[in-house]
Amino acid sequence: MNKIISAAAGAFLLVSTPVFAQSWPSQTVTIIVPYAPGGIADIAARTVAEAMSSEWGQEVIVDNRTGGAGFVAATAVAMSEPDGHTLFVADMGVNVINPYLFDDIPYNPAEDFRPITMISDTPLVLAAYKDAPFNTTEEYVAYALANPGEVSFGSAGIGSLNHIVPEWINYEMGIDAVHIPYRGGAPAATAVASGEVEIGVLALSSVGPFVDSGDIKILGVAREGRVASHPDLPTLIEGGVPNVAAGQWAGLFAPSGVSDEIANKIQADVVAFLNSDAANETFSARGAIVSPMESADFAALLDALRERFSVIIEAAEITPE
Amino acid sequence: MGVLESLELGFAVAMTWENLAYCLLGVSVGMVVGVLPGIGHLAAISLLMPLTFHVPATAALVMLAGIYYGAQYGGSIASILLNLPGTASSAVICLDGYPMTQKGRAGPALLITTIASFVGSILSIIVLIFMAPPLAQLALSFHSADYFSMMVLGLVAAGSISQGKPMIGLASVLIGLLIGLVGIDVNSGAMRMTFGVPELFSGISIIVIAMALFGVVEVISSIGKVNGRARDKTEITLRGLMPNRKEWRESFWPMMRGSAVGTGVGILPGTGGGSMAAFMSYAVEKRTSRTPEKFGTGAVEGIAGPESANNAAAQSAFIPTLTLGIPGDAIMALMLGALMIHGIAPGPRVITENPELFWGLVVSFLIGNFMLLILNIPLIQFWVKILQIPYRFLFPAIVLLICVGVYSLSRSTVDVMLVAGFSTVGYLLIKLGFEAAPLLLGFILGPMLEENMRRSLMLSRGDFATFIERPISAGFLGLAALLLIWVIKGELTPKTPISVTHDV
Repeated sequence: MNKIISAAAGAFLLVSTPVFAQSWPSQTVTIIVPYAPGGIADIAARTVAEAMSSEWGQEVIVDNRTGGAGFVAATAVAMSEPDGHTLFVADMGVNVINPYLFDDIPYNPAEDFRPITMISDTPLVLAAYKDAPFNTTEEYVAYALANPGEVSFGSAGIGSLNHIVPEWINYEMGIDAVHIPYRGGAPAATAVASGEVEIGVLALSSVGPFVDSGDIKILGVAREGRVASHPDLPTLIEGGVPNVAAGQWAGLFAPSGVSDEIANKIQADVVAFLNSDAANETFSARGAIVSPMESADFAALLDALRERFSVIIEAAEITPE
Repeated sequence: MGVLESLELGFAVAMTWENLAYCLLGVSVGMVVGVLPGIGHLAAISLLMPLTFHVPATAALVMLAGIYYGAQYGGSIASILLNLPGTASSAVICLDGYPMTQKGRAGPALLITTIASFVGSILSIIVLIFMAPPLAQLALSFHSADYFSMMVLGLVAAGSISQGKPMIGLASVLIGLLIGLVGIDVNSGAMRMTFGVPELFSGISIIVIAMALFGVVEVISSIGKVNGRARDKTEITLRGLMPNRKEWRESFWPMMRGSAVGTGVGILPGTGGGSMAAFMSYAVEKRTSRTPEKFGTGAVEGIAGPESANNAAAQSAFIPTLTLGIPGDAIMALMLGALMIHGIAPGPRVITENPELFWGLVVSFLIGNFMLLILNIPLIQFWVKILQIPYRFLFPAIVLLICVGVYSLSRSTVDVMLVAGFSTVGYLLIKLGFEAAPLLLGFILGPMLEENMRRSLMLSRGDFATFIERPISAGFLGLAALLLIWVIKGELTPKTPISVTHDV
């Protein structure tokens, strides 16, 4: 009897797994995005959704669940059925920064989500007002060191990447630059362009127009290597600021209970699309770089970022209280 | 490029069949979205979002822009007929529009707001055509201290919006201010009055407040009224829809002033757009009127001015969106997204680098507003018929629409519960003599005042002199002080009896 049951169970397992994988997706796939339509995370999700709709033969829709610093969307994904029909496009804020920023957070990004691949990466640059008394990263550091507490930097809000990266520069170089938060990246870029604040670490795509108009000058890019589209822009590391490299990426995640098979299929299909010319064009038009990755590499990157950011956030005493 | 060549280019782009079709689609959707209470931009976005990925940037933008300004036309319809603002910026229209309906002047009120919308839009577009580049530069010269001082002037000017006792008016503003504090504070990141509910982190939506305090409270107030219909006396003939000569005359200057106020407010990003413009215009009209006591009882000036203002602001708001890349709201953000998908980065040079897009869009505004005028006028006689629907059908339908609309804001039941809660509290407050309009004003202005004041002080490292050292800021504060002195002087000097007789 036992034999029969185990044999049946074994047969069931053997048969069921491939059937399950083949039948995925068996219904509409929803990609949840924690931000309003129009931003890079939303565009990344929509671009992938459109390509995967034809690839998978099932409709893939984008659901913008805004609010609560991403809590609403993240909680919805964490509590969803891990059958691969609910996916998550999230960024640094939701996946790396939030747990160090808020005392009480209703999800655990490291445990609740399984990283699939990064989708796109928007380079951040150290940008300065046109009349600021420095033109390079070195000159900025020297000026800020000589005038402690005088320089102000604008950000998209407390705990945003545009807040933490300048604090990281402060931390590495011993600078005392003062944080001025704004309501989002565009007002922060405008504040630098109008000279209300001297500097800001902002998305290359959002300062581009102001660089063309001559209101903003770029000192350096916060990346390991130079950006292909702007080969003459030195990195901050070249400018003497060690370690500081972080982009405004958008990545694809699934709830952590999802099966390996489904996760691998999603990874393979999405990465194949991201490697296409069409994907490359869509993202470079938006000032971003397509960044397909192996899931393991993406997970390792997230671990490294979490370690680093926990130290900086604590050192800079960034708290929402 | 001269203005004439620019316009020629614009017409060449906007008059293609494709762009005309997208323009018509946009303004029609916008009008419907505006009429339905609460159903706002997000519903329209999810409906038309997929389209914007596949059509050229100009067509996508023409359509999305059409939704945006089209909604401003529709918004005032329910405000006038049912005391139910279709969009947040038309809440002010309730103040005098609804009393006009109660007096049997619903038709003329609707016609005047349609004309006012058209006039406001067209005047603002003309300013846009001749002055867009210098105006963009002007917006860039505004710092936080200047915004703060402008808000102070706004608050002082709008103090007159209260109709009852001054102290209760002030208390209403303060309650609005408190509600405006809910959410994550931009300057410190502190959670304020969120009670751990993530849906409250980004604050309470103005739509929630406007729907609750104007719409639902009105429904609750009508319970028990014997009269089974909102208004069965209204004449539904073309004659009954036409404003009389006095109404035409009284609405001309308010439209001009409203357009100027709206255009000015719209240019400055992050000032609350149409709602702020409408409030300012109402304040200006009441201030300059020789018969301020008429306001709140169905004054034509009280609808003509604010309606021109919110439409003018809807058009001039495109200046900061396109030239600075700062979106005013969800639709504007989507338009920026649509631009970026097509590789066009909004910024100071968007006009010179993408002239066909910019001028095509501007000319499409002109065409779209003509379409709206033509669409709206014949529809007025149908809208007025809404008033003949018996209460027992109309009111449940309104409450249902509000629920659906508010839910569509961010697909959250929390918002619907908030409307229920604010309606209950709002009903009690209004019965006690509190007023919805000053409360809404406090709600809009409070958070912006605080944010800009604290940011200015952080930038000046705590030095209050920053507010008088910057010329723009000092100018606004000076005006605010003068206005305050004028008001106080007016209160202290004994009132001369106002002649009520008019030369009709």
